[in-house]
Formats: sequence, C-alpha cells, structure tokens
Amino acid sequence: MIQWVLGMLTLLALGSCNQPSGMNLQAVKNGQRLYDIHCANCHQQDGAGLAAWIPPLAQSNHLLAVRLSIPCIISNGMKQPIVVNGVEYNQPMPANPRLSEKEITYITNYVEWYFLKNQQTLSQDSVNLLLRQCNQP
Amino acid sequence: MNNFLKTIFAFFIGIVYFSSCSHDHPLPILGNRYAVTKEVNGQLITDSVYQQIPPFSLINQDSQIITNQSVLGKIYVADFFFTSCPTICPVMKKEMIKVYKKYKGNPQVMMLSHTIDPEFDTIALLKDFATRLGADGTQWMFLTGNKDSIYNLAEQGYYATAMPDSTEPGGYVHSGGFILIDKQQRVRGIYDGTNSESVDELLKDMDILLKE
Repeated sequence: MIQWVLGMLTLLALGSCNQPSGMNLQAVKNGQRLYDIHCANCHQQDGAGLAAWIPPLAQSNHLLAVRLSIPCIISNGMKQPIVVNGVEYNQPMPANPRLSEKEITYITNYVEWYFLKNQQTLSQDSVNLLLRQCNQP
Repeated sequence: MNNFLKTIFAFFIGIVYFSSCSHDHPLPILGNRYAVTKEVNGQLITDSVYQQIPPFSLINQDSQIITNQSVLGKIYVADFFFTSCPTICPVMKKEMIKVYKKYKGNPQVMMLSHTIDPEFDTIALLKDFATRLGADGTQWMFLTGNKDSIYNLAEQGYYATAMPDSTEPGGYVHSGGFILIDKQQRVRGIYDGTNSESVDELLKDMDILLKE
C-alpha cells in the first residue's frame, strides 16, 4: 500500500514537471485551443511553418525581435516581407478581425509560453495597451 | 515458460500474417465503368471499360502546356489548392512535400497541384511558390488554366470539390483530397491530404501501383 502511494506521488510529481509554472494552466489550454483553430493551419501545431512559404514560430529569431508586436500581428496580420532565420518570407498574413482582445491575450500568452519559453503571463491590460499602440493611425 | 514461448510464437506469426496481407492487396479501380461488347474473330466478347481522367489542357509554373499526354505512362497524385489559402492548404502542401521527397527523381511518378484561384495565382506566383516549397524540377507541377475547366476537371475527373464561396476564409471551398491516378489515367485511390496517416497509406499504395 505504501509502495502504491509512493508510486502515485512520483507520477504526480513527474506529471507536474510538464505543466507551466507561474502561468495559469487553464489560460494556456485556452490559448492552445485558439492557436490550433486560428494559427496552426499555416504555422502548424509545432510552429514549424511551411518550407520557405510560411515562417516558423518555433526557434524563430524574428519572433523574439517583434515580441511586443505579437498581439498586433495576431490582430492585424502582416504585409511586409520579413527575414526569419536567414530566409525571406513575403506571403501576407491575413488579419483576424473576429478575435476579441481576450482571445488575443490567450493566444499571445500561449505563443510566449510555447515558442519563447516565457513563464510570465501578460495581463489583459498589458495586451490592450499593446493593441492600442498598433491601432493608432 | 512454455506458454510464454507459445504466445511469442503466435505473436510473430500474427505479425507476419498481417504485414503480408496489408502489402499485397491490389488497388481498386474507382469511378464509373461500363461494359462494351465487341466482335473478335467472329465471337462476341464483353469487356469492362473504366472511367479515365477527361482530356485537359493546363499551364505549369514554367509556362509549359500540360495535357493528358504529359502524364501518360506515369502514376501521379493530384490535388487542388490556392496559394493565399488560410485553411487546409499549408497542411496539404506539407504532406505533398513528403510525397515529393520520397519519389524525387523517379521518372514514373508525378504530382499535379491545381490552383483553384487562377486569377490571383499567376504563373510567376506559382513558380515562386514551387521554388519556396523546394519543388525545383518538372516532377511536381503547379497548374493553372481556365477557371471553369479546372473546376470541371476537379469534379468530373478527380471527384474533388472546388468552387468559390464567399463565406469561407480565403473565398474558396475545396476538398483536401490527394487523388492517386494510374498509368492508364484511372483513379485508384483518394486520400485525406490533411491527415499524415492517410498520406502514409497513399505512399504505400503508390509503391503497389508502381509494381503493376
């Protein structure tokens, strides 16, 4: 019996290692669900992108460089060519006008957590602030 | 111990049995067929005639005209897409890259990707798309042409759906199928180009078809 309890505790401990610390688990799950619906068609679930047509998000030097623009890019899309890990991409990314600010916050935090390994959660207010900056004329 | 060995033995027999039957099945011939009766040496002989890909005439990424003649005697995989597609196309292309990589350089195998948005997908854009996907030769063709003939070819030849639909993201609705065509231009299998396991089935079936 004691062995069984110890075994279960070990399993629990191992399982918790894979969970994000410092970030709300439910928020990550919400972000992942939204990412799968709105982003994964093109960027792929694992963030690999598609050859030299759609840029990767995983191991992307560009994602780190445009970090503060992530909410704006999710919302407004992109038109200008970009260079990611030495490859030039110029396929425009469509805007996502149907996404609410709350949904953009979930996706931003998921992208931060999954691709940039950031454990800190961006608050709704911070994301709103970032969104207001990019929507100024 | 004896029972254990018996179980192991039965397990391996099972593996051999199932792997042998999954490798050797002949592929069905899909589509309509009709019987033709003709007179040969004074005797009436009835034969089945199978539906073939209807005559087509399209243009590839290198501005060459591509017709049924271009694929005669080869097996090929056909699909329908458009470059600005925000939905299933990128996954389909990722899977088609897998097919291309496996058969690259094999003169008996081709891939025909048809754009369903020929107004936007110019020949120059298709060439750029092909290059960016790593398709550098003429084995993987990116085809454009008259819009209606592409749609008719999709529906009547390849059992695929392709049409404009303003309610869809990107403006078009189309099926994600990969259609396998044999050397006599008959449909031999339809696979889900958005599903990696289904495309693995396609790769196995292509090997079978190549041995026919």
